[in-house]
Amino acid sequence: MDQVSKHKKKKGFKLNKASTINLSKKDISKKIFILIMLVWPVVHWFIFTLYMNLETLMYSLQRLNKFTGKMRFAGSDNYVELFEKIINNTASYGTAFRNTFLWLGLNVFVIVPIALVVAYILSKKIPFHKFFSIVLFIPNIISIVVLTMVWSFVWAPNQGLVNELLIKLGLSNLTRVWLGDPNTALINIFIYCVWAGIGYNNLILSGAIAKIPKEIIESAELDGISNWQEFIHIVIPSVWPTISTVTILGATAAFRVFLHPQLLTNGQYGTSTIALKVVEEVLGGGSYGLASAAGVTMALVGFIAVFIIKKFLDKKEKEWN
Amino acid sequence: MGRKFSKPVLIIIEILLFTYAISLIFPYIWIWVNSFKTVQAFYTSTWSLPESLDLKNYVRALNETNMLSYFKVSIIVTIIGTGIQVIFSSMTAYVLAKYKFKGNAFIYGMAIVGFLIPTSGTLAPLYVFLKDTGLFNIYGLIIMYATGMGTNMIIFYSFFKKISWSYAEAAFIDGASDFRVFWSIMFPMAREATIAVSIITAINVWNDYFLPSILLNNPTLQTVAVGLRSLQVQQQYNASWTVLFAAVIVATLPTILVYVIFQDKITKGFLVGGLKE
Repeated sequence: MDQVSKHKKKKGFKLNKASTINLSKKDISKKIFILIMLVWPVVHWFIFTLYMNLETLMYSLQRLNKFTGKMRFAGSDNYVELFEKIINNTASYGTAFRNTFLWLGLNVFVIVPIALVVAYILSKKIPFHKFFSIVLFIPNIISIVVLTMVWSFVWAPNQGLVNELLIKLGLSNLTRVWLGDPNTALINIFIYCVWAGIGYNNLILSGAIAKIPKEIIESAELDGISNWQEFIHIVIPSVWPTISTVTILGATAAFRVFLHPQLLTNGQYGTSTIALKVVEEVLGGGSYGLASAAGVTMALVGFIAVFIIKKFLDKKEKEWN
Repeated sequence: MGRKFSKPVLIIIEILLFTYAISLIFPYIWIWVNSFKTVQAFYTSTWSLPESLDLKNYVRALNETNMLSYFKVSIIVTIIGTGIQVIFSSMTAYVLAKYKFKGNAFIYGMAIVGFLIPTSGTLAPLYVFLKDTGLFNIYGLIIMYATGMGTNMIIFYSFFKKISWSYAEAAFIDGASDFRVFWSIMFPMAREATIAVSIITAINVWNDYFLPSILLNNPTLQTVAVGLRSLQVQQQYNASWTVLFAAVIVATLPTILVYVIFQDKITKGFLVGGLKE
């Protein structure tokens, strides 16, 4: 009752006794409603987001004692081990670290620009534009397992499409084990990522280009500008917020890449990434402490990299406004 | 529309785009054609057409592998996982968008923070947690999908923000409960968002590889994606590639069919999902 009267005063309601009870009933039922609606999502978040991240931080400062089977505090041991492994390239940790950054460059400087050009071209409603946008999106609806499997059939050393084609063209000296050769494996996976990754960015950028006001484009057309000028001076500034979004999404994704090298080469032949190292340490019965230190480092480095990219993108956006 | 391309430029563009499009489609046609061959015929020539539309490989793919069981698991996980995730996301979004209470902004902030942290680094504690709680099974998988604070929530949130509250007020005056207003009035009004979110979520759950591959221990109770991967690994020793090809065709056909039929809705759904900010 005390609660109710307090409530009444706060809201400044002048109510008789009967409606006060009504209000409190309503209030309580509303609270119960909010509670029931939110309890599971909030609990889920606390377990799978907050707890897991704090626990990762804790793990990264601990080490398994092999004799007692318990975790003990180990200070910066895991981080020191991680950095030593990266610097000395032990178990190709250095390569994995480098590759994560190459992926960042690939996603930001290769995939987004190509997708932007494709989206611009398709916005011109060239012949078969509908067909192209439908086909380019196919990799997004097919499982990565099937996609990588198809890719490895195409590049297989024997009976693979590419090698068979080269032999047919009389270029059999060019045939090789594309995904099993340290000289070609990483580049091959990068090409896979571009091949499969254009469609999604194209879809989102196309949506943005379609929303550019007609007047802007038409007035520019009267000035007699070329396609290139139109692309650089009108399209890019107009859709910059969307370019910014897909770039940030791509940059964040770069720090999580592990399935492509895992499924295509098992992370061998110089194709591993830091995220794949985390997965291998945990699933391969390695050190949880080391895996978590790598996870924390990756999150920190990723956060800084994305932050810098975001700052740059925002600065450009201001220049145009 | 703006400026059109000149003829020579257009021709080059068309050639490049056709090459790219064919590179995306042709491997499936190649797999499909070769799925009718015997292993010997495949090794003799990978380019020739099959002598007949022999379905032996398909029969073997269904009988000798656990394909049917994979499909059953995938269908169950996709329907339940998607359903739960969509309902929880819409519930969270609705309450956060329409009710003022202490902690509202905080909970919304929690969801945003969840996006900013990359998740694959947290695998070690997740692995230990799942082991300790005995969740290395289909229930654990569905629990992992049953989030209400992900991207889907943000999509629903902006949708519910736009829906007028006056319908709800009218219903409240008629004595409807909060649950009833949500379930019978507001949730149906967010139909467009529900369809978009359900389609993307279902495709993502159906295609997911990583979570089911670590959570599902029983080799027969796998999802299609995980089952195909283990078939692929086995084939490296068996070398009966043509059976694997048949399995790939069987496994991808449903997704392709769904895409062909609902292409417009699917791309629209991804467009909504991609523009969450």
